Amino acid sequence: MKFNLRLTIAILLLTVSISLLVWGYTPNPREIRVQPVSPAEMQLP
Amino acid sequence: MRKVISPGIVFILALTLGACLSQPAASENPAPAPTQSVPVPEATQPVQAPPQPVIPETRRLTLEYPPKMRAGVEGDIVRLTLEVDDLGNVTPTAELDGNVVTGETVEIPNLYETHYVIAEARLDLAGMQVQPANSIFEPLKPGQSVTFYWSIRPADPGKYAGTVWLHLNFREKSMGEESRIPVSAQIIEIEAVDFFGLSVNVVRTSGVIGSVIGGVIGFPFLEQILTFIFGKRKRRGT
Repeated sequence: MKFNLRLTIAILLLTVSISLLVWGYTPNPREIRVQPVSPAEMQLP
Repeated sequence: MRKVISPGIVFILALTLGACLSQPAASENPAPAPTQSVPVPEATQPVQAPPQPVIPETRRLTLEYPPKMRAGVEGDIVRLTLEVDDLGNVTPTAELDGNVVTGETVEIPNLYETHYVIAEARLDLAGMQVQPANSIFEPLKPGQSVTFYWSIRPADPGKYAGTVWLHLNFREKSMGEESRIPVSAQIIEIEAVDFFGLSVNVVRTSGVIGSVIGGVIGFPFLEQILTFIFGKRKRRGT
């Protein structure tokens, strides 16, 4: 009984802690926008 | 008294009828008669002003930013690159009455030869720490890319909206006359999130401490597993 309780707590703690670490260290998603700029848009005013 | 139509009259009538039936189309659509040739005056071309100097290359503007990030101490980077588009070959084209005419190279003065070109970029993001907060200036040279970086850091969770501006500044080499044009204004939205009210530092520290405690509690089972494996090997050896 004591053996099973200890095992359950250990698994629970490790699961929660690893989830927190994953959330804390995952790199932020990046959005990339590409827009062509023609010579006409870079003319003198 | 009976009248008899003579065969001669019948023959003449048949000839007349045949002649009428043989040329119906010709009478309906007469062939166009040749008309008198009149010399067509040449189209008057508008007097063209000398072409303005332009930057002789197509460029590509790339904006990279995090749409979602963690609030608190963590920062991230926003990057804006104005690079030369290698595939952007521009051919002068003209459209005339629905027909596209392509070709004829036009000599356009190179803007780089007459002006200094300076790219100016600024990131306006209200409510968030932005470094540098002011405009950044980079000289634009032929065939070379310019890249601008900003470091952003949201103190609190929430949605932050802002604008990434890009201007081009021109300064004439001989007279020193300056002008400025906007090239791009891109609206960005960044969402800063936390973990059920906990900051990033708290979450990371909790994760490390929890992993250590979980490992210590679970350690005896590791010992049992190791004993089980090595015991099996020993038994095989004997």
